[in-house]
Amino acid sequence: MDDSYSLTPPPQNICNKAIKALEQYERLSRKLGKQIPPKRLSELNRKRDTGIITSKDLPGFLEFPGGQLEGMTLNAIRQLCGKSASKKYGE
Amino acid sequence: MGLYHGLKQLTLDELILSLQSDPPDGEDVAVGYYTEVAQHIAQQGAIGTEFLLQYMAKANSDQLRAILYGLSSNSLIPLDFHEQIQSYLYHQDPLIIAEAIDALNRQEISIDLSAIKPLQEHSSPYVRGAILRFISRQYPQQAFLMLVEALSDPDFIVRENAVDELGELGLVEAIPKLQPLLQDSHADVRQATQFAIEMLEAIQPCAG
Repeated sequence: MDDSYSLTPPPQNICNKAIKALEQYERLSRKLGKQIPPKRLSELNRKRDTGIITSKDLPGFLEFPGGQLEGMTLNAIRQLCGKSASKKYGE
Repeated sequence: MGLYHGLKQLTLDELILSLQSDPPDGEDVAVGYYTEVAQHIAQQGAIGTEFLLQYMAKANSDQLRAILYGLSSNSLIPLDFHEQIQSYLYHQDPLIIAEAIDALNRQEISIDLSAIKPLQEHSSPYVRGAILRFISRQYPQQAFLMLVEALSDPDFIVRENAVDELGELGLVEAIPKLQPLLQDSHADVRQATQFAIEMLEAIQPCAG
């Protein structure tokens, strides 16, 4: 079920970039002067909070590292990269 | 990637119509929608790219930002587009300037630092933030001092950009400079700082 067990983790900086995008998309969008529509933001937050968000859910204008992490869930990436969930996502 | 998954099914003509129509979620969030439309148009090959290049002249601000993004995410764009991007560095709308800087960054176009550095003093935090992203990625050796200086910028957008870039540069000597921003007045800066410090602390043992 969880495909992260059999994979080699990517470099730490790639893991961090991916996790940052999947956890902090709201702040990263604001930083670029772009907003996520409220209804779509609620859906993203729900997926993030349950760990099932993937790069495919993110707004097209955000950067996400290419390669093996594309399409993987946040939970699977955290497990592959040996990271625990962040304490806080912000507002 | 994308919030608007239905766009994948559209033909080029339908995508063009979408770019010229009102955005589905309202004007305030139009740029995100148009960006995804422009990305899909650019992916249609030369005919899509050609349309976007021609439409730039009549596009509104949100559409223009979207087209700059869509074209610059594409590796198969004509070289004269690079000159066109640079002409937007002097646009009256600061968000277009910021988008043009990010487009240069995405295309890895190296331009003389002296040509772009004056924009570091621009009144818009989005322009100053985009300059930090550009210099940090195209000139990483020269970025550290500039990023540290930007940590005390009066605008949170600039401080946040500086924090993110310092984290991504992976320079552990940034940690003491970042620590005071854990108490920043803006939540976005605090969140960026916490993440950047965690990133840098994770690599610190290997650095010594």
